[in-house]
Amino acid sequence: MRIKSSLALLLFAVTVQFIFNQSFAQIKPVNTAIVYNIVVTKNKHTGGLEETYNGGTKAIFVSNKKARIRLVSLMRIQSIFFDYDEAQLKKTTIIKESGKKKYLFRLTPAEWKLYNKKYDSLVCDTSFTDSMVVAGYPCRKAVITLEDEKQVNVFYTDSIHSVNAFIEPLFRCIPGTVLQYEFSSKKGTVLFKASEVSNHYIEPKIFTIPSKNVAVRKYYPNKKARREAEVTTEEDQ
Amino acid sequence: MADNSNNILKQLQQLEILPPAGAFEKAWQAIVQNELAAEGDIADAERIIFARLQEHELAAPPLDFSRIHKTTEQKINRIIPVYWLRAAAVLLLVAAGSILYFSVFRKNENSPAHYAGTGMVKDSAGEIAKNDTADSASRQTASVNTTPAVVATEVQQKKTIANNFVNKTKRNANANFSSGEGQLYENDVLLTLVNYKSQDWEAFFTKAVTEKRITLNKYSYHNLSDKMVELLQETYLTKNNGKPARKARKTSRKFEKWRKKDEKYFDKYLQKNPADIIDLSEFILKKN
Repeated sequence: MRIKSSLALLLFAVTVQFIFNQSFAQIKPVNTAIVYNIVVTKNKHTGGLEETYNGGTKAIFVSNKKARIRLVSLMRIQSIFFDYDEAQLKKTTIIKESGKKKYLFRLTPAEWKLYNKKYDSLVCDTSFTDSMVVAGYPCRKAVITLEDEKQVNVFYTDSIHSVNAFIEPLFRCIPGTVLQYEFSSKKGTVLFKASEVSNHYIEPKIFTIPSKNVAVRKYYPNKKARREAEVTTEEDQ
Repeated sequence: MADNSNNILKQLQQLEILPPAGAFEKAWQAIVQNELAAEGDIADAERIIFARLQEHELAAPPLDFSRIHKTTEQKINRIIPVYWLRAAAVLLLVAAGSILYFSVFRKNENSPAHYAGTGMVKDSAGEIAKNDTADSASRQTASVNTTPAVVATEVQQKKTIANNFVNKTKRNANANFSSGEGQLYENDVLLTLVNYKSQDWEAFFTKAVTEKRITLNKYSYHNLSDKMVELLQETYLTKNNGKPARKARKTSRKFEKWRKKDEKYFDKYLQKNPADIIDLSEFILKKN
C-alpha cells in the first residue's frame, strides 16, 4: 500500500513538472531579429534614384506577440508595427518616421490583407536542389510566382523559427525563414540579403510606436474608396 | 795666570783675519751652481716619467659578459630584489584590470539595457527605440523613466549626458555622430546630408562620406555607393566667390526631384510599401 502511494506521488510530481515545463515553454517569447541589406543593380545607367535605396537595410524584429519591420534608406525611414495574439493579427500600424511630413496609418487585419492583395495568389516552388549559405545558415532555393507572373527567387532556412505569415505575406508558402530574396526584371535586380540573424532578447521599447510630430492619416484600400470618403465628408460639411 | 788667559781670550776674540780677495764670491757662486744643478735633474726626471706615462699601454682583459651580468645583478639585487619587482608588476596589473573592469564593464552591465536582458540585440534595439523620432532627446527622457529604480541614479547621469550631447551637437559641428538617428535633421538621412551647412551637420557628412556608411545603430545603417558619395560631394561645390556652383545647384535639384517622386509613389495614396520588394522594385526599376 505504501509502495503504491509512493509511486502515485512520484507520478503526480513528474506530471506536474512536465505540465509546468510545457507551459513555460509556451509562454517563453521567441525573439528574432533579421537584418537584410538591400542591393540594387540596374542594367542601364539612369538618373541614380536607385542609389537612395541601394545599401539600405530592412530589419525584422519579432518578440512576444509583437513584430516590427523597419526600412532604413537615404530617402526614408519607415516601419510597420504588428500586434498579434496566438498567430492572429490584431492591428498593423505603418509609420513614416523620417522627413518633414511624418505620418502613420493603422490597418485592421482585413485592410492589411487588402494592402497585400497582390500576394493573394501565390505559388511556391520548393523543388529546387540549389543551396547556399546566407548569414551563416544553410539555405535552400525556392521560387515564388505571383498572380501577374512576376517571380521572386528566395533562399530559405528551416534552422530559424519562422516569422508569422502575416508579417511577410510574400513568404507565407515558404516552409522556413527567408534569408535572401531577389526580384529581377529587364531593367535590373533588387536583392534583399540577410547580413545578421539574432535570437537574443529584444528590448520592448523597440515595439513602441513613435507618435511625436506624426500626423495620423486614414487608409483607403483604393482610389474609389478614397473619393467616396471625400465626397461623404464634403456632404457632411 | 787668570788675567793672562783672559787677555789671550780677549785678543783672540778681537782678532780679525781678512779672507783672501774674491773668496766669498767664489763660495756663493759654487752654492748657486749646486742648487741649479739639483733643480735641473728633477725637471728632467719629471719629463722622462711623463713621456713614459704617455707611451704606456695597458692591455684590456678579454670581455667576460657573464661576469658583467653577475656584477650588475648583484648590484640590482642589492637595491630591490627581483621577486619584489615581480610582485609589484602583478599587483599593478591587477589594479589596472580592476579599475578598467569596474569603470567600464560594470557600468555597461548596470545600464538599463543590460537589466532588461542579455545579448546584442537589446543595445541596438534600445538605441532604435530611443531614437525613433526626430526629437530623440524627449524620447530618451520618456524611455528613461521606465527603467528600474536600482539604476535610477545612473540613468539620470546618462540622461544628463545625453541631453548635453544633444545640446553640444547642435552647437558644435565636430561632435560625435556615431550613434543615434535622433541627431538627424527631421530624422531624415538625406535631408541631413544635403543640408549640413545650414544645420551644422558637417561632422556627420564628413564621417558618412569618408566611411561610405551611415550608421544609425547596429541594425539600421545605409552603405553609400561611390556614385552617391560623388553626388553628395557635388552638392557642396562652390564657385570662387563662395556661392554654390552650377553643378551643386543641379544636384540639389536632382535630389529634390527624387524626393518628390518618392513621396508621390509611396505617400500619396498609401498603397505602396517601400519595404516590400515588389513595390520597391517597381518604383526603382520602372518609375526611374
